[in-house]
Amino acid sequence: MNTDTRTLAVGALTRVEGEGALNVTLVDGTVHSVELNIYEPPRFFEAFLRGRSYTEPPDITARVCGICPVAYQVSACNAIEDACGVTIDPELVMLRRLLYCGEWIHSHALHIFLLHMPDFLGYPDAIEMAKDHPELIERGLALKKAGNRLMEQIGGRAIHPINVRLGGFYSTPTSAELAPLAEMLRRALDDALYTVRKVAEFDFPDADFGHELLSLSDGLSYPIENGVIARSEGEPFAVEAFTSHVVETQVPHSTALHATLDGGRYLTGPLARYSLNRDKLSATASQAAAEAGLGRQCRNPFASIVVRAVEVVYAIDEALRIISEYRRPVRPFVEVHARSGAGHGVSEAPRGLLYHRYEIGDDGIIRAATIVPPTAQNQAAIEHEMGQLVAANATLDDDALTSLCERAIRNHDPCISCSAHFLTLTVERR
Amino acid sequence: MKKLVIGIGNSFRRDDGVGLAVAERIAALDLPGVSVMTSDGEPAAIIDAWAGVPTTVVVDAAVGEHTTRGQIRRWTPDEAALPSTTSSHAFGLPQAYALGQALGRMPNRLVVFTVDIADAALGTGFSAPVAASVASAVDAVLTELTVDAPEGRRSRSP
Repeated sequence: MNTDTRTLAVGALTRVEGEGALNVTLVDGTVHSVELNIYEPPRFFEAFLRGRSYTEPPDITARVCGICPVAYQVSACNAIEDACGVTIDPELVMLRRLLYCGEWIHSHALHIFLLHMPDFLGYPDAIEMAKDHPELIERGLALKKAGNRLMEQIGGRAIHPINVRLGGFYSTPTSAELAPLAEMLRRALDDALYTVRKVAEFDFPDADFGHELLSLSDGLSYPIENGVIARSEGEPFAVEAFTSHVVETQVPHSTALHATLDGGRYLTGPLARYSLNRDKLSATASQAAAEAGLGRQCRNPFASIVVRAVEVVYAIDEALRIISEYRRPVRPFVEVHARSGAGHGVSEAPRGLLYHRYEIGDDGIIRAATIVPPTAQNQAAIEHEMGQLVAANATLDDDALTSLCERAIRNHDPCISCSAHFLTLTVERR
Repeated sequence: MKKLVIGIGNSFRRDDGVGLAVAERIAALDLPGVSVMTSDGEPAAIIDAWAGVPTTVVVDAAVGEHTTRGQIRRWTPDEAALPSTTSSHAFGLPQAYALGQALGRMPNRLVVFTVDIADAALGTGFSAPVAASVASAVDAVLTELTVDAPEGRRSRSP
């Protein structure tokens, strides 16, 4: 019997963070296999945290990622404070949330304008797009700068902040120091609202891949710096139960572990966060979402750019709220004394739920560490989406199919460097 | 600010840190009217810093075929293309230059010095040829800073 074999190869998947590849095999037009290859070397963070002091993970794990270091710092702090039985002051929690808002604004603006928007406007990259749409890139850079300024003020610097420590911060800002940020954020809010209206005009292919959704939920506000774990098809569970539900396994084609939720495929990130917490948005963000046509849920990954834009509005609005209510904390940090035990910590990185777990000895030395980043959790869902998209579009020529797959991967803003603690695309038809 | 020096690199990738070392030496001189920044090559911050500045001098490491470790090269935008500089991320000086041009956010006068490198492995410290080039690169930057920029060319404030 004759078989139809076609092979597509792309040098490297662009506009994602890190290095990786996608291999798709089609036999007689039917998808035979889809493998998201994360070949960036494993980085052994969990291994070299063992034997270090319990005070070090917030600074060490921040180095996992230059885009979302605050997520690593906050999840690490949450986990170690849990292990040591410490609850930090509410004012310090709000300052962490304010710092985290800066990271959401910066990371989402980078992805929306510089990585994702060229797909919708038909450009190969942001530089080509800037030649025809300089005003859009300028808005994106202005938003990104606003997020960076917030991180610099609270965290000491925008990349790998230096002011975060267990129990809180090394120093806290005065109200007078935050006042100029509020003025900058009010201007940024106009840019963010414009962004929602602009991206809502884009054409989105219809898509719903039926993933279960997983996100934090804190009951009161849109989840950022902590919460319980909510899911679309089941009861929420406490962070301590994370590894009972989420199981990581090795796959031969990736240096990042794959994860399942109670044995099934699931998705974390903006779509999950929005769909499980729509009613927790601020009035301004909620109105922007409604005007953009987002319903109670959004499960279409192609429309994730709209959800990210709404989340930028929320993060700015939330930052303004926190600043307006800010009173300098009576102490910059709560003492965290080492004690023997294990602790769990979660927070919502821009790309989704980030879980940390540490075991600490009574000497304050870390015995074991587990880090489960969002992109690793999303690998199986991304592979599933690629299989569905290739099957539905197998008649497209190789270039068009490759372009569609790259675009669909960018929908998830994968941070391959984080997941390997990833993309070259190969489609084989035979 | 009339003059700006930008050192680009990663001090934890061996010779890739040479641009940072040069910038730090310039900063230590505390020259009046001269600002110094170090950068990981992120374009937005670079564009933001150099837009409308009369004179900007950038120092970065460069890799490529036919390079000589430690060799200092001078580039200006009037030349055909900027060199392939190194970056641990996908962005770097060439992208900052292209984006700045597209947005009309450039300094009036831009001079780029590159130092040829071969070792950007993980770790600190320079190879001997690159270490030996730092003093000469500092002198080259200082010489450029004595040249006055033309008025009002190519710049638009952010």
